[in-house]
Amino acid sequence: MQYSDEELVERYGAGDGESFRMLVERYQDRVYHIVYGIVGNKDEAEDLSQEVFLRVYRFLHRFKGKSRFYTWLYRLTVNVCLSARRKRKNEPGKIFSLADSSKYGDDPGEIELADESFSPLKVLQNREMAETIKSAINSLSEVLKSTFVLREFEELSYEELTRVFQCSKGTIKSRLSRAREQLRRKIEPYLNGTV
Amino acid sequence: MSCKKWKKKLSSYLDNEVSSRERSKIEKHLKSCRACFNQFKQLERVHRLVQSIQPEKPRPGFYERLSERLCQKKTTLREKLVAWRYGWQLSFPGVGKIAIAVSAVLLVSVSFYIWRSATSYEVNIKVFEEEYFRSQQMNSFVGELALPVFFEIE
Repeated sequence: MQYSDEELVERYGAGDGESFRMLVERYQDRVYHIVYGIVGNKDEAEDLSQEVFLRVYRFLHRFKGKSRFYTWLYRLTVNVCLSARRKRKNEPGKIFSLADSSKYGDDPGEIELADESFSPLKVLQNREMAETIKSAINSLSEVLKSTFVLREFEELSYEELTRVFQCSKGTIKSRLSRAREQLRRKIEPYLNGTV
Repeated sequence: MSCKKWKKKLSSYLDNEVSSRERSKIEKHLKSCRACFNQFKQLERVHRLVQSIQPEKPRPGFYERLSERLCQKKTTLREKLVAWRYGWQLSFPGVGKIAIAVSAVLLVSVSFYIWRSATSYEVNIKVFEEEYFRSQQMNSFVGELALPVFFEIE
């Protein structure tokens, strides 16, 4: 039987530990993808994704069902990422950028475009493009990046984004517009004739 | 409206988050302005490229690793409770424990004695004040009687 998120939360509140497992398994990929989009590093993404679910485990009783479970979860995810980035910035010499992602053991070639063909040149071009986009996304400010990632990766509506970030629709519009414009400028030389 | 203002609306237009009235205005402008049209096409491409990036997934066994961390957290809490409970015994074995208990009793007794003394001193001052005023009244009464007698003698 497929339970809704809210039913699982309710069951967990009633002491059903298995519900927590089901929630984790339902959302682990999405949370990981969002975290990876924000931090840009696999090890950190794994660590922070687990931190998100540890917090879910601790604070799920505080979820009152006023909003959808996933907006609550994504808010938690963004908070975990932003506070981790803030801590990292305060540690001298630990500012992470995708430009030096190899230092953290990430293989730049592992992000691949879905429409990759078998032509070696195209594969190379697509990988280069993917890396360029990844790097451009990572260069955005934390707030712009998290708003952009939730919109593009999770396709959250503007209404849902206002609930996640607790701000007005105008702010969301402005953030997305700025994020896209910055990305466009960064990858403008690659845009013509690529897609 | 200047192109700068139209360009700001392109992102919302791309997400279909504009009113139908605004949509038709934007579309009308895009038909007449080459620069804005090109910028919109580029934004569309950026969107398509980002969408085409394959989602990253965690390594298999994510829940198992999470469970381990949850168990560690629980153990740590349990360990803290145990440490708190037995820390007393571990920190102060044998004679040390008795010495601390005796010191605590002495400290309480001395504090109580000092508190009691301070309270009784206050009571004594009150009694003293009452006695003093009573004696003052008595003196003035005696003085009134004595004076005429003195003059009579003179």
